[in-house]
Amino acid sequence: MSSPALRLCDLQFSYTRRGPRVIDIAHFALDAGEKVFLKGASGSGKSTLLGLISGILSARAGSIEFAGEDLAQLSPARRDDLRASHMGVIFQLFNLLPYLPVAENILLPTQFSSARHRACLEHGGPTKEGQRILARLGLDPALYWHAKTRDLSVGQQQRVAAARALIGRPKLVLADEPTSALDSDSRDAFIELVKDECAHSGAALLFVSHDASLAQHFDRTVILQELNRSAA
Amino acid sequence: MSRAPITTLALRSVFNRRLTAFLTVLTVAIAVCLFLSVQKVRDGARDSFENTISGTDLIVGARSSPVNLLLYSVFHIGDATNNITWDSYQAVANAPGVAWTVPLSLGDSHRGYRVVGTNNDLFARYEYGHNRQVRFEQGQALDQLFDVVLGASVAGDLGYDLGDSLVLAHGGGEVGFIEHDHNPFTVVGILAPTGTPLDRSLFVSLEAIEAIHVAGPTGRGMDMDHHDHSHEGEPEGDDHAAAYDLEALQPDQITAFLVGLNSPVAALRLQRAVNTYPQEALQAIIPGLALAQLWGLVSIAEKALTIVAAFVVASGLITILISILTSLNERRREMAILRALGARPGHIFVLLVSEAGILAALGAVTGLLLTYGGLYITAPIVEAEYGFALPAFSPNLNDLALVGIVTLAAGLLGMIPAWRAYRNSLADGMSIRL
Repeated sequence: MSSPALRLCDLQFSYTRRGPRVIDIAHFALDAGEKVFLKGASGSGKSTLLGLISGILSARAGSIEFAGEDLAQLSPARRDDLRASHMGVIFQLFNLLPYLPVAENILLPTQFSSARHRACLEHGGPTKEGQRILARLGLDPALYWHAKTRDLSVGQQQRVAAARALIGRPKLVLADEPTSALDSDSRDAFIELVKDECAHSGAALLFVSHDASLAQHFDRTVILQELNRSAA
Repeated sequence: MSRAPITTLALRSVFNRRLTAFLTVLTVAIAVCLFLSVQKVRDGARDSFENTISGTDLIVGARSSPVNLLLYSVFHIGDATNNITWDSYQAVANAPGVAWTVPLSLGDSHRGYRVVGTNNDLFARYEYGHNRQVRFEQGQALDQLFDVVLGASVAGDLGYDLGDSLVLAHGGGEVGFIEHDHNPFTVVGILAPTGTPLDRSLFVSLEAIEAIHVAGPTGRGMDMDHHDHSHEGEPEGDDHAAAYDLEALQPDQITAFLVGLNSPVAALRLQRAVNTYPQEALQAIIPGLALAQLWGLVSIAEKALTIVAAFVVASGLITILISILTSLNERRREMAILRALGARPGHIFVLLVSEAGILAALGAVTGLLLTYGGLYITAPIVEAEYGFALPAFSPNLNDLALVGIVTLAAGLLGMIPAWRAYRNSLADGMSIRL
């Protein structure tokens, strides 16, 4: 666990060139396979930080090292490629494309990235790999693989979203309050399942939430207000 | 990113909103169908119009307007203002360079169909389309005085067969006010369909026209004593035509006549000679020019229709724009998910442009099929009613070009919502705003 999966150095960001600085982080690193809880209240800049790490937003200054490259130096298109190939993202809610069944939602990353597709081929192909992950997340593929997205409960949708984030062995999984719509029992179960599967595939996990009670599940907790010198 | 399934996703997304998509497609389809139908009807009308007469170099009649002469002599619409004398006809017919003439004597009808007094040269000389000749479906040309040859529609609509007898009326209406019932005619020939006004005409000899009018305006006809058996090939005693003196039936005037020249180059010179004929006010027209002139009149309406149809197509395209723009806000989440999966802002752009294109293409193709289906059903009716052939199933480059243009235009319009979504997806980043 020596080389970091992600390292931010002197990262600065503002939405407009002369606008107020939203992100100002001296240093933050995530080791490969490490599972970190990033605690952030609303307004602390967590959505912005996730936007920067995922490569959707462009840093104004500093570096974001990921997968051996500095996102801050890459073109937006390269960053999109990198995200497609090596990151999985889980949102708070409504992660799935409503017009695709479960199977196609899970397999989407393998269509957007040939690297993710190839990674699946080493483990029996995208379908087999997707079904395996879905099963590990507690949804029986025999029942749910061909299910329609709208027939699923919120908790089931979040698991499908996790399966989609994890397929094709990404190096990093970004989870943005994925449990806020779940009750406490299923919340803990969900976190454990995602953690296990990250460990299985070797992905680092950056789990962002305002809920401090979730911190116990993780290797390490970072408080965004302390990390981000621009936070109010 | 080469595997990015953007157009597939666009299709699935459209299908997910299939009710609005269906209505949008339907709007475009109806617009395209309207536009194409106008074009097809125009093309059909113009084709059958321009193909009504060919191979004839001049049409000569009493002086009026060229369009009027064309209308009554070829299209059997309206009536001649004046007849022309037999002497004038003979003078032109014997002019140097004239290869053949076909006299036409109009003014009688049979149950709404025009009767054309002429001679058998008509069947030999009249050409339509690209030099297609008149052909007999059944029977043969005129022989006896009271023989009649029927156009295809006349025989079909009125159910006549060879050997049937029928009675002609004076005047052109559906119900002739004076029926020449004294002189029944016998059907000896039925023409093959031509798609020209010939189909809706009956043909008798000039002498027969004289015979039914010989007793003057009462039209009772007359029983002349029979003098002359010189009429060749006439079977002895079995025909009432024998009762007429063919010499006496020599017409002294006709309505118009068709002229064929040895060399078409002479047409202009002969036209001038006819137009300045000192003994009588004659007029000669060149069919092609007169047809073009007449079509110029008709095409004003056609142009107006085309413009209206084009506006309908434009409003159909705007419907696509509206449907995509209104869907944009509720689909911001969809865009954010795609972005998270690695889609570039450009993909979002393509997604929306291709959605517009898909809707337009589906609409245009549906409109195309609707048009073909509609023509397939209505073409036989139109042909029977109005005597012109609609191109029932004739996909041509213009139709495909229309599909292409509509799709392209929708794609261009789709850039408006696509640009908005593009900007949204840059601004929204990873956060999903509702």
